[in-house]
Parts: sequence; structure tokens; C-alpha cells
Amino acid sequence: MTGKNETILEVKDLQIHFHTDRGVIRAVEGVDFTVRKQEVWGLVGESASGKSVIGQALVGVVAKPAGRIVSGEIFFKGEDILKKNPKEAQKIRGNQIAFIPQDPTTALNPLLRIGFQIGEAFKYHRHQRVETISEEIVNVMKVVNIPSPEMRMKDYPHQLSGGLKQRVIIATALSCQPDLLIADEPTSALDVTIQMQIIKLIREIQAKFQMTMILITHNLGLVAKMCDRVAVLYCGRIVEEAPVRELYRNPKHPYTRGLLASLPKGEKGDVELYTIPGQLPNPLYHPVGCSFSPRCPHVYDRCKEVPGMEQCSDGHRVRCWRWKEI
Amino acid sequence: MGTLLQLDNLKKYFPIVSGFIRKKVVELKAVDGVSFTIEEGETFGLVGESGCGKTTIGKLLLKLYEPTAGKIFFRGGDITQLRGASLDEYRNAIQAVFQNPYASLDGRMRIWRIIGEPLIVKGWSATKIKEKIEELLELVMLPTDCGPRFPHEMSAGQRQQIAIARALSINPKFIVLDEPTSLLDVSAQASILNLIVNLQKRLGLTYLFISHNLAVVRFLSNRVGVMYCGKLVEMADSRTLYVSPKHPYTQALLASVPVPDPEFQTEEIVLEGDVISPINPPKGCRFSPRCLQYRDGCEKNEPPLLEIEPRHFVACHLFVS
Amino acid sequence: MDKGLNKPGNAISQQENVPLTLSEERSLKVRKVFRRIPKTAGVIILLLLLCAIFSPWIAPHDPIKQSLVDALKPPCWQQGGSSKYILGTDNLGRDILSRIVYGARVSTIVGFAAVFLSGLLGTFLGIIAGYFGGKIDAVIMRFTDMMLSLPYILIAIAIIGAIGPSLTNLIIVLGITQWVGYTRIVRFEAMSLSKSEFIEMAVISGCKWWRILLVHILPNVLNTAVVLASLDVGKMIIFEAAMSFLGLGVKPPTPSWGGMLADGRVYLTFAWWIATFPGIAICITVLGGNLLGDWLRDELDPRHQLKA
Repeated sequence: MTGKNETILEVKDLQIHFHTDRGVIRAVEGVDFTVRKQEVWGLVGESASGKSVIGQALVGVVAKPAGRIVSGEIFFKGEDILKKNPKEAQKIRGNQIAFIPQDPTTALNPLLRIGFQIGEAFKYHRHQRVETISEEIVNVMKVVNIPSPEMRMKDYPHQLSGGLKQRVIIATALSCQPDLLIADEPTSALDVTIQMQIIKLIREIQAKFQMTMILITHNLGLVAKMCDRVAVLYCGRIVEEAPVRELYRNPKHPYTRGLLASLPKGEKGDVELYTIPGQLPNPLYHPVGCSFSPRCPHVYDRCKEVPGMEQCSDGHRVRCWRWKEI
Repeated sequence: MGTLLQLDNLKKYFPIVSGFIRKKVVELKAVDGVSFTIEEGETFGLVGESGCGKTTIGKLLLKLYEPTAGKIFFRGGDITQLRGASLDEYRNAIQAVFQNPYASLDGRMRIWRIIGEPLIVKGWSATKIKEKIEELLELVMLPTDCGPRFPHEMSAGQRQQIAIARALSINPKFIVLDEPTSLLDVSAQASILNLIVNLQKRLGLTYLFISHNLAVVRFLSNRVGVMYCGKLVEMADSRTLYVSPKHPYTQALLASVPVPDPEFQTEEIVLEGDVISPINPPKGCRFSPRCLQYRDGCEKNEPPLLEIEPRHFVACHLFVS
Repeated sequence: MDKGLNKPGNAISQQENVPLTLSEERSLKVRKVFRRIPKTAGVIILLLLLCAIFSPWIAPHDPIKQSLVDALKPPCWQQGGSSKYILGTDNLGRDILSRIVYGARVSTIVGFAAVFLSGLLGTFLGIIAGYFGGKIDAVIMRFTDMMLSLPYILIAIAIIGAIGPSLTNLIIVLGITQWVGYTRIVRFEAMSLSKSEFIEMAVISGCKWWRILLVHILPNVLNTAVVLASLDVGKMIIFEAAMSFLGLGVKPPTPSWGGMLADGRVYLTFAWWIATFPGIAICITVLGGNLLGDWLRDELDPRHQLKA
């Protein structure tokens, strides 16, 4: 019986390291989460939090040879995709798990027509005949509201605006009707009014095709608008996870609180913005113990040890020793 | 406290050339008749999406571009065509901070050199420059020992602090801030915004704050102007604009900004089509092709910018009586 | 429950966030640089310089001393060779090894001087064309096109024919014909640099055009220019060889590798050593120049330290 609460993705203790000239960057240090069917799950973090790397790991494009998935398991529909051989992984990637990258301009090959690029996934995964493909391509372009798809198929990427390019990318991602869609900052390269269009489009598509979606972003407004549940990532670890209303209303982790407090609000002359003291740590040198401790206003002795994830209420878990007190 | 800057029907067209003999094919009308004033001591926010001309306005004020038509007045004096010594003098009064913390600093120079460059150009002595740099580093809250370092050793937020320090080195009156926090993380953005506000209070600066981030503009600005396709479509006090926007584009813009509050419900205004290119803009009101309140006649004439209430200007046929 | 790194109470080996003082960082960097000195390129260049500077002490014989009785002796490991002339002798009985050692002088001087001259000229024209654009760019580019269309051999013959063959004249000729490669590439980089924000900031700060060119644009194109220059060292040495081959290079009997190649060409089938060893010397030197250029380019960039 497939119900809405069934798990489609489960990640266990994922650790990803990058080996560079200057040392080892521990980009992802033990991340656990589950994503349920047909929900929109948000992963929020600033730069160097590791959020993009997690997205890359889910689709198998972590940059080699510097990047290495040191340990962990990713269960997609019950099977560990990290243990699959390249051929099997290829069948899943693009087919059942699709990816929308951040910048539509660099994600498209400037030398190939967009119809061709959209159809690549079809050709590869569905092994369809060439004649039927153009029909499918036009169909998927219609789904993403690209006007006059038959004509635009022959266009090159540079002839399209940013919004249209992003729609082409979404069309490519959708072409094989994936079960899981991962979007890495899908709107940050776009203008605000175009963002609105794309958000509306993604929501419609998600509802229509009953897709599960993982939204990776730093934009807390976008998360509030689109997600059902949210996880906050800091220095490669999830520090808090909750249903979206709960997270904004009742943040428990000092970092989440700091983030929400430092968003600009109000008018000129109002109070100064709250700033989280200190800087994001150097990715080569993560602090010992709780990675937020050097900047945390509530730091105390025990923070030298890495806190475990604790449940604070239904569906809300937090990684902090002192969540009860603060 | 008077008017510091006045823009009078300012236009900037860029010719698009093609062909072997570089014949002018078409014009990109980046700024097409914009007029407003900036009062001393205030922060004027300029918002709009890409291609609306807001960055071009900034560059026109910085004299990086020469206007195609129109005039600019600084403290009453015409600075539209400025050369030589008077241009140098003007450059003393106006500085800038740009968006990209990686591209706006010369990666091969040490920080003290970057900050001190405007002073070196002026011929200050080494000791005076050193003193001033220490003063500036303290002012922007950077550690005073970071002088000999290179920009790439600093974080993005710190690089913007360096850019601000450099802008302040010659004691300007007016600073153009072009998206200074768009590429920064949320935590860095907050500290830079606080710094910008504090510096204004301490030093009595006037700002032109250009951004597409409406929340930030609201936080910083006294007055805000909204641009679309090279024209100013609405201008008002910050509070008035955000609480009761009158132009349909402003309304759509404000409705499109995702608010970080899941409880917040607002009427969704989703515009069709793309942001219009300023090459061959549509006839009449430039927003008419996408306007949800379009009426017959909007595409015939361009609506003038009218003051519909005190200090609230709108360019829309809905208000042309 | 959490496993591994996130087990509660697990404070395992994570690197401490200990900030280094400025001087500690500096000495760490210096040590790192020395560790990364290129060994192969360094050895080659060192050898070249030693030969060039200390030729009288390194070469076993006088390079121009002829000895017809010892003519065409093969290298010492072959039948007929002797340990007196390790690499054999040429048709006039001159010791090949000594001539190679002395020839290093010519190659070094020509290689580096011609590269320096052409690089300087080409880079300056390139940054001026790139920064100013418009008419100035058009004029410089047409001039460049014109230079490219003229074969340098013809110009060399014309000039050297007029003023006579010598090392200096050769360097001048190479300098004024080989700058074109730099100009095109440097111009492109200068053009994109000119549009970047830090150049706009320099203008706003009150910098005049000459300051912007010298202080901002030039250092940022130096990397590219240096890489081009290192590749050119080899090219120049080969050109010198070609010039000497045609009799337009250094005057005989001054030994030059190119001249030796020219002399040895006729004897290739039976006295192969006359041309082969100078040829090997050229190859190794060119290789050294290229490797050095690669290393220099990486080290000159202060941002290189961050590359993963």
C-alpha cells in the first residue's frame, strides 16, 4: 500500500571529503535524513555548508578524484544506490532521480539545440525511436509552458532568456518522469518576477506528477513558500530539522535562530539587524565538537563534544546540548 | 541639508553595432528619461530587475558613462560634461561599492595597497596613508593587522568591508552601493548592512542603494524608486511604497518576494512573459504587455510620472485623469 | 541513533581551528615554495647557465681550435673514438663537447634576450590595444596582421643583410618580429580585465590611464605573458638555429648549436654526431624552458595557493 508517508529516500551517516593541496575538506560529516513520498523537503545552508555536495552525491556527480564519499548509505526506494555498479546507477540517475542545477546558462551546452538537449535523456533511458521523440519533447516543453515549442526546439540556448532556459532545464529533468527531483538553487540566478513563475511551475508539476522534491537553497523565503519539511545544515552536519511552520515559529538551534534573526526586516531607523558573531569557519578546519560552538552565545563546557540529534517534538529534531534551556 | 544630486531627464543609449563597417543596427535604451533627486543625508533605494537600468544610473552618476541626453546636477552645479580637474574634484566626492567581492578587488595587490590606492593617487605621504588605513580598518571593523594580506585570504564579507574602507578613504559625500550584499551569505549580509547604516550615521553619508532585494532596500532606504525597462515607474517614501504600492509592476514585484514566514499569505501576482529587453521597447507604457491591469490605450502613450499624493510619484495610465 | 562521527561525546581527531600568526604563515609559505621548486626544469636551466657562464672551465678543449688530423672522430664509446674527444669531433677537428658547452652561451643569450625584447614589446602593445579599444585597438591590430603576413625570414635576411650578422643584430631581428604572438593573447586578456569591477573602482578612485595600465592591468596579464615567454624560449633557440643555418646568425667560428646543426647536416649519414648532439642539447633546453614556464606561472599567482 503506497501511502503518502512512505519513505522514498533515506540517507544514513553520509560523509564526503575533498582532498586538496592544502588539506582535507570535510564537506559532509555524517548526515542522516529521510524524505517521504510526494513531500517537498528543504535543505538550507550557507556557503560551504555542504548542501550542494549532498545534492551532487544523490545524483552521483561528486567531483572526482578530489571528492570522495567516505562512508554512508543512500537508500533510494529501499536500495543503496552507492553500492550499485556504474551501469545500474546510470539507469537511476536522470531517470528516476532528476537534478535541476543552479545556473541554467552553464548547465546547457551552448552548441546544441535545446530540443536535442531535452531529448537526450529520452534517448538514453527510454530507447525510443527518433520519430516519436520529437513529439515527447514537445509535450514536455508544453508542460513547462514554453511557448511555441515546435519552433523553439530548434533554438540555441543563447537565444533564450534566463527564465526560458530554466524551463528547458526543468523540462530535461522531467523528461523521464522521475520520482525524485532535486533542485539546487533553482531560482537564484533569475529575476524576482521570473522566480515567481518558476516556483509556481515547479509546484504545479510536483502536484501533477506526484513527485517528491528536495530543494537545496540558502533562501529562507523560498523555503517558507515551497517546503513541507526543512533541515538546516551547518559545516556539513544537520543541526535542526522540522516541519516548516514549526521551524520558523519555534527554532531551537542557536544557528537557526541566528539566521532567522539576521534577515532584514522592517524599515529604516528600526533596530539593528542581529548578526551571528564570528565567521563561517575555514572549511579545512572545522571546530572540534559542535561546529557552531565558536560563534554560539550559549556555548559551555560540553560543546567540546559533538552533540547528538535529539527529538524535541513531533517531527522536530535538533543537534544541541542545550536546546531545552534556550 | 539640501539636494545633493539631481537627475534631469537622463538618457543613456548603447548602440548595438554589427557588420564589417560596424554600422549601428539598433539602440539599447538602458536609461530612457529618468528624473529624480537625492537629498543630502538620505538613502535612496533603486530597485528593479535585470535590464531595468538601475546599474546604469549608478554608473552615470559615477561618471563611468557619459549620458546620451539629459543633465546631472551635483549641489546645484551641472556635472553632465565634466573633464580634467573638475572631474577629479567630483571624484573626490563620490565613491562606489560594487556587487562582486571577488571581482572588485585586484587579487594581486595587498589589502593596504587596495585601500590606500585613492590616497596614493593623490600623493599623500606614506606615513599619512598608513595612519589613515589603520583608521579605516577600525572604522569598518576589520582587524588592523590584515593590511599585508591578500584579498583571497579573506572571506567574501570581509572583502566587502575592504571595498567599503577603500570607498571611505577620501572622505566622500556620496556612495553608490550597487548590490553590495547580493553575493553574500545571510550572516555576512547582516553585518555589512549594519555597517552601512552605522557609517551613514557617523559620517553623514548619502547613499544610492541599488538592489533587487526588496527586503534589504526597505531596511535601508528613506525613499525608493522602482525602475522598469529604463524608466522610473514609481517613487515614494519607503514605507508608503511597501505598504501601498500603486503601480501594477511594483505590486507584482512586492508580491514576488518570498517572505521567510510560512504563515504569510499574500495575493500571488504571477506575471506572464519575460522581463522586457530595453532594445526596441514596446510602444506606450512599457509594462503594458505584462500588466494585469491593462486597459485599452495603455500601449498608445507613455504615462508621465505624476505626483498622486505628496512625495508619491507613479507613471501609470490608471492615474492619468 | 547517530553513528560514527556524530555519536554523542565523540570528540575525535578534527583539526583545531588554531589561527596562525602572520610570520608563521609566511615561513610556512616559503618552505612550501622551496619544496615545490621544479627539479627537472631547475636542473636543466642550472646546467645551461653553468655551461654558459663557466664555459672555459667546463669545456675540455678550445672550441675553435682546429685539428685536421683529428677530424671526424666518432664519440668515445664507438670504434675509432678516443677519450680525448668524448663526443667526437667535427669536420675541422673541433671538439663537439666543448662547442656544445660554449654554444650554450649563444643559446642562453638569444633565448632569453630575444624573448624578453619581443615579450616586452608585444605585451605593451597588447595591453594598450586591449584597454583602449576603438581606433587605437584597430590600428594596433592591423599592424599586427601586417607583421604576421610578412615572413620573418625575409625580414631577417633584409635587416641582417643590411647591417651584417651578429648576435646583437639577431636578437633585435627576433625581438621585432616575434612580438605578435604576445599582443594578440595579451590584448584579449586586457580587454576582459578592463571590464572588470576592480578597474572601474580604479577609475573611480581617480587613477589615470597610465596608472591603470601599469599598476592594474600589466601585473594581471604577466602570468599569461610569462607562460608564452617560456614557450618562446625554445622557439627562439630554434630560430637562432635556423638563422645560423642560413648563415644569418652568429659569425663563425663562434660556436652555436644552430650553426653546428647546419655544419653537421652534410655529414649526417656517416658522422651523425656532429649534428645530433647539438640537436639533443636544443631539445633538452627547450624542454627546460617549458617546464620552468609552467612552474613560474603557477608560483606567480598569489591565488594559486587556494587551488584544490
